[in-house]
Amino acid sequence: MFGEISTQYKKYKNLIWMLAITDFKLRYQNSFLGYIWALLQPLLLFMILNFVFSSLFASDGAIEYYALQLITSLMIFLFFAESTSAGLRSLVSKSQLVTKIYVPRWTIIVASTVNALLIFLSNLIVIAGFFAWYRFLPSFQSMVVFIFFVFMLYVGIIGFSLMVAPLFVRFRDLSMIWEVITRALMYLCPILYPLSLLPEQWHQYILLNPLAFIIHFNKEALINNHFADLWQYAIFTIIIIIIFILGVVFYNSQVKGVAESI
Amino acid sequence: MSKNKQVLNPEIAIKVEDLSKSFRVPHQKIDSVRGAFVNLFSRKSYENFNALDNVSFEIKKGEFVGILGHNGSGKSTLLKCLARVYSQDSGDIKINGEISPFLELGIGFNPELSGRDNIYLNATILGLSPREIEDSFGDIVEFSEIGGFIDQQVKNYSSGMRGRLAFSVSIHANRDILLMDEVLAVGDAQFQKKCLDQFKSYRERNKTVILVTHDLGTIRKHCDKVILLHKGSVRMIGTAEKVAEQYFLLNMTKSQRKEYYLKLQREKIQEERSQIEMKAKAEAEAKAEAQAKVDAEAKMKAQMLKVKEEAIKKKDEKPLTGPALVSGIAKINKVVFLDADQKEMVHFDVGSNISIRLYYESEKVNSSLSFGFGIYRKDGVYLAGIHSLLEEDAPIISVSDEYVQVTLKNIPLNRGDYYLKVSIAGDSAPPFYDYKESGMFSLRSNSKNQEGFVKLDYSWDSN
Repeated sequence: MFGEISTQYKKYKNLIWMLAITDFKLRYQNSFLGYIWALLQPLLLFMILNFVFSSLFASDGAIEYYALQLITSLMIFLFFAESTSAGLRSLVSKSQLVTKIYVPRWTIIVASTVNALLIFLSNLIVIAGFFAWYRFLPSFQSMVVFIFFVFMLYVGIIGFSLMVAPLFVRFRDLSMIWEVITRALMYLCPILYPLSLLPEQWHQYILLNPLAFIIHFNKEALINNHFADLWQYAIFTIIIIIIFILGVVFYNSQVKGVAESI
Repeated sequence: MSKNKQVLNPEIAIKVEDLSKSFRVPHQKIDSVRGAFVNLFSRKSYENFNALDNVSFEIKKGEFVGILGHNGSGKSTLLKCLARVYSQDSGDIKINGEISPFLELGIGFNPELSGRDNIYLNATILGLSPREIEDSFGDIVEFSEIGGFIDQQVKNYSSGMRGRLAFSVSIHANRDILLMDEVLAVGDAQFQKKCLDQFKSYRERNKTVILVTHDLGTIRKHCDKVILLHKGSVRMIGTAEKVAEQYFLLNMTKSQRKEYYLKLQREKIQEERSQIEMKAKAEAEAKAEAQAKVDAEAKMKAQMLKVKEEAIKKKDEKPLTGPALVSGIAKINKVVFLDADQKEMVHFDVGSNISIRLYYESEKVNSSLSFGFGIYRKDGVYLAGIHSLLEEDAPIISVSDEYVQVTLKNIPLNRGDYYLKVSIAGDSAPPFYDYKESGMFSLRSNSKNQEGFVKLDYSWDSN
């Protein structure tokens, strides 16, 4: 099953890339500011959240570099929200590619998440800008951890998208449900607030959520140069891998009838 | 799976065996979680819709195959199975060569993108590598006749331009087997022609084209072979002409079809009957001809005898009405009827050429003779007459000749029996040198379309 996908990947990587680039282009095609919106949108959201919550959490200086923590966490979260939502809808929104031609369906799903990845990567410039503004240089290890987190997050996103995209074809409610869940996740993950704000005994459960784990330990690493234990990384990695494998298995079992029920 | 993989005959492009595909159509479509939840507890009711039912066929390389059928006959489903868009329930599809995986032109075309971007996008979707696209980009633009508009957004193109661009990309996705679903329905006549010309050239390059269309004209014109689908199964595979007729039949309602079948049967019976009748007629005619010949000869002999008797009688009685006779100068020996081949006979077809040859002998040398022929109906009505004295340039007939012959061209008489009176005279008539009622001929015809005894040359017109 994985072997088949890897041989298909060689054949279809151009297609994935082309679809992603096209999505990216189209998104800002007719807007006056164009690609700048990719940077401006999260920035504006950040400014509002920062304005409200920095006075709440950081007015007494209890949290160092709250703005830096918020912008990185927010970018990661937006990446997650956008890519999963795009992945979920991918087969339906590109139904022509499903019903009028044969391309492996996973290419369509993956391509739709690449678009969000591109936006996220371009937003790294904004994050870097903020760090420069605050004259803050994260440690080398923390940057490695950051890259590791982004990679694992993307693996998880692909696994999730593979799982739900064929399902969404049959159950259109999923998009509504997922919208609610993402909104809930925004508050269930320590984006706006530090994890320490929550009772200690909840931490282990909250950190079982890979997204919360990424956001929390990314902040810790970048700002405080503090890292999770190895076993914690191990559990986190296993959860991501399980999500990915589940995604592939589910995809394989569901994808057969996709064209028929779209 | 690998057990099934026999080596295909290299002549065969596609082999489909017992292909079945069914859709489970729930009576109420569940497309919400609530629906599914409610449905968990209620009785499930599905309808199994067999879109394809044991479909088998073979397509040879280089064939131009049409798939014909009504809406819902399964033709699009079949094409989608071939393209692997749908996965079949059972059966086997073997494909020899690379199949174009697309069923429509311009898949993925986005109106917001420029023509150039759309070429890259569409070509990539069709499976071309970036290098292949780069190499054929110029050709694609040229073939599409887009020219300077290539960097404009496709939404500003006319639909014709869009169609040409899409088609142009698709033909550069060089595949061995081409699937097309109703593509020809779009675009103007010129573009359709371009498409079809292109398909023709595919055929010349031994590529296979499979075309789904409703257009019988296209099918008749281009397809070597047509597969007619009806309610998910192959109704017929054959030449365009035959399949088109079947398709036409399927188009009709039940009662119309009944009528059509009855009509066909009636025609068939009629044909058989007329064949039998013709045979019988021919036999009867052959018999009748033989009989008639015998009869006619007997009749003629009797007639001759009668004439002779009468002549003798006339000689004796000096008839009042008969022409004044000056005997001893010329004498009629014999009169015969000849057909176009100068064969002696008494039965002729209506409208044929009849020659009358009059054998005579003359005692008076160096005297000119004139001849008269009169045609009479059986009951003695004088129908027509000719006399050489009445002609402006009558043939010079010398006494030393053995006979004189006159040919009646396309004799304008209807079927029936006629008899002839002939006479010989000199520079003027009367007096006559000899006079004879000289035998009968009959005209026959298979057609009974005219009555009376004059054959009319006519035509019907209506307005």
